[in-house]
Amino acid sequence: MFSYRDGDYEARSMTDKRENIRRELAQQLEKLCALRRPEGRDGVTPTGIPPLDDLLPDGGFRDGTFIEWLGESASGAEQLALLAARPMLRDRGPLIVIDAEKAFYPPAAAPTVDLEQVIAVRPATLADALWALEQSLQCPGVGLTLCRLERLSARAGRRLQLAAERGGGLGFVVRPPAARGQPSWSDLQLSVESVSSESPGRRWQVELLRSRRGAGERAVLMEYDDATNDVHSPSELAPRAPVPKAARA
Amino acid sequence: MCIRLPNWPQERLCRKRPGPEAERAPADPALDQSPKFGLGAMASARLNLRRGGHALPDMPTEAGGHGTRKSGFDKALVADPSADLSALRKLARWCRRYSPLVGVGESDVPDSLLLDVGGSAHLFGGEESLARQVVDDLSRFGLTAHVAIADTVGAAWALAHDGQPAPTRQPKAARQPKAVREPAIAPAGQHGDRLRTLPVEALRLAGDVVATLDELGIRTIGQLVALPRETLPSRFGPTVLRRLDQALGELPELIEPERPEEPLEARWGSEHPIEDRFAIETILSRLLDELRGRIERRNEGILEFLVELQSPGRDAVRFAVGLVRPTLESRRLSELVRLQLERAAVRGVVGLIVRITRRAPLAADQSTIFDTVRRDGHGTLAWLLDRLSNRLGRDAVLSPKLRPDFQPERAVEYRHVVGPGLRARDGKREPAGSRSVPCRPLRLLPEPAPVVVWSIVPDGPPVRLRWRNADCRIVRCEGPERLETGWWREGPVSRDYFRIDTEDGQRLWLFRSADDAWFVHGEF
Repeated sequence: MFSYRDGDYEARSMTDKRENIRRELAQQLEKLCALRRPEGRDGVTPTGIPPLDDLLPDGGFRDGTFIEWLGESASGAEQLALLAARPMLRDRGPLIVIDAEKAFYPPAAAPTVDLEQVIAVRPATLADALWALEQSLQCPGVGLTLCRLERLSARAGRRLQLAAERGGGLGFVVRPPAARGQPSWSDLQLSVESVSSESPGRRWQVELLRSRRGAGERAVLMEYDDATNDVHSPSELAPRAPVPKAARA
Repeated sequence: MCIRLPNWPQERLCRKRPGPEAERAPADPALDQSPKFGLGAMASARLNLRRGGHALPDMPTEAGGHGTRKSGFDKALVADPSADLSALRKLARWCRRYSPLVGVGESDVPDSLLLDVGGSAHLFGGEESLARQVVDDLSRFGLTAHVAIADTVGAAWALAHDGQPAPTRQPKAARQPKAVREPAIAPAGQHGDRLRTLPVEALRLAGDVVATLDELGIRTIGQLVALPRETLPSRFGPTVLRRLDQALGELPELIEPERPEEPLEARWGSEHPIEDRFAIETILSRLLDELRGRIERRNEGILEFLVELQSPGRDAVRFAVGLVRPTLESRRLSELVRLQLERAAVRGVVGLIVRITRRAPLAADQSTIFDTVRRDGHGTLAWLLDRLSNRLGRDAVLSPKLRPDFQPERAVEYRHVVGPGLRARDGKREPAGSRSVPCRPLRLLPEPAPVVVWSIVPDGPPVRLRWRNADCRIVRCEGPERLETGWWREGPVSRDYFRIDTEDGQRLWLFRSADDAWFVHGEF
């Protein structure tokens, strides 16, 4: 007969065991993925945003990966994604924006990327958007493909992930927060939440929801400065906004 | 016959190509604001300043920048002799209606056409009638033409260029400054007499030779003929005697005719309608291979081709296949055809036509606008853009470019990645962030969305809004930023923009219009 205290101990040891197995499996998966990767495509490009680099398992974005950014429509997730891809665009070349809603506004992107390097693709249907996204991801000449998608099936997600792996560029898909917890084939899933603060800059709380190495349920705060078009850690002097606990246990 | 177009470089820019559309050209020269050349540009600038009344400081940029009115006064055009020549060649092909043998007169400045009218003048009611018709036809396209007919090419050229120094007939509109020159026609066998009185420049001689002759006091062809013939080559070079003989008919001179370009087209016909898509693709590939062989010899690649599928009792299905850079790879061309065929409603095809409409040299890849494509050594990006443009349509694959315009919707223009009208970009590149762009949202709604907004004081900053079926409190508001366009623009706007943060963390771009209505225009 187990006492309550014993049961608690048992549960904790089970959790530890599970955690160990999970970590082991993640390591194996990482090794297998490294084997699958084509020669010379295992570079990691830091984002140039210190808090984000600290959050990402590899310290930046690995070539040939497909990354989901979850955020509300006016939360600035796309803007942060574009800022994070700045070094990648400088090194690798063009940005293809799949813009089915015809809402992408290049003047806002002009301070971040060279517009000569931007091509806007405006598909008429969701099927066309997925086709264009896949084509663009598997093209080695493209540095970054950015797309906003409301819905993405697991099958389409897998295709996109394989396409990104073949192409070697980066694929950013911005999705609504409702996609959190849904099955996903993305290499990284990041949640971006706009946090109100007293400071003049815009603050985001970015949480790593999933990665191949396992998500640490970590969240970081970062602040965007309009004037310098730069993202950095929030100033120590500014009143700190409370970091809410991760919604998913 | 020689047709001289004294103002060809200017007039070719003012007028459209010869053809039916030229009929619609404005009749009143004061309304014509097309870009002109050299002095013409200045004249046009004066015209516009006079027409515009008192000029506002930013008005020229406004009108020049948006293309609402085509105006040429904000730029001076640079002379382009090669473009002049190619346009003249096109005109020569159009002039084949007067004679089967039409060529461009050889000279430093391409300005004349040569026609052999020996066998065709009677069809127009005689030489004089033909000459008048040519002048009338060309004047309808806005071209000033001096026409001369003589026994030899040289004589016709001389008469057209210096035949009649003074205009003899004024046009009906007395205000119009242009003078129409009577055609100069030398009756058969009398061209020698007509030539004698003309200045030596009419012999198509180089400037230095004319200067030497002038120093010696030889100013007319008659004086030149009077000199001992055998001394001419040693004194003035071989050209003088050759030109003189050509003009007088002692030496034959041929017109180098402009041949119409052979259309690059391949056809295939069938008695029984073909339903199978794969069969159609195979036939189109074969037709493309046939055309490929024809242009391969010129070391050119295909940039655009048209495909036409004919079905009995239905309208023909036509589509254009465009490429970012020229290619001859049959696998790529067939793939692009397949992408377009997937979208076309193809049933019962009995005839297929493939026609190449644009091509470019394969080696010198000048047809590409993008530096990125140029740098893309393996051509993977070009291939991707080809595929995207052909499957999604040309309008769906675009390259953005900023425009200096205050109205947010007009601050960017898009250009097709594939298709005609591309211009090579100049070498100046601005690195990202070098241009100071005001803070703008990354997503601009295609149409501003009306929104209900509450303010505490009238005309004050907003404090609450109802957006997407939810009431939101506004926690931060920056603005107003007033954006106003000129009264001379169609649909001028006057808006006060605010950048607001809601309590949910949304950042929106709102504006209040001149009539106090609120709209959401963008999301940051």
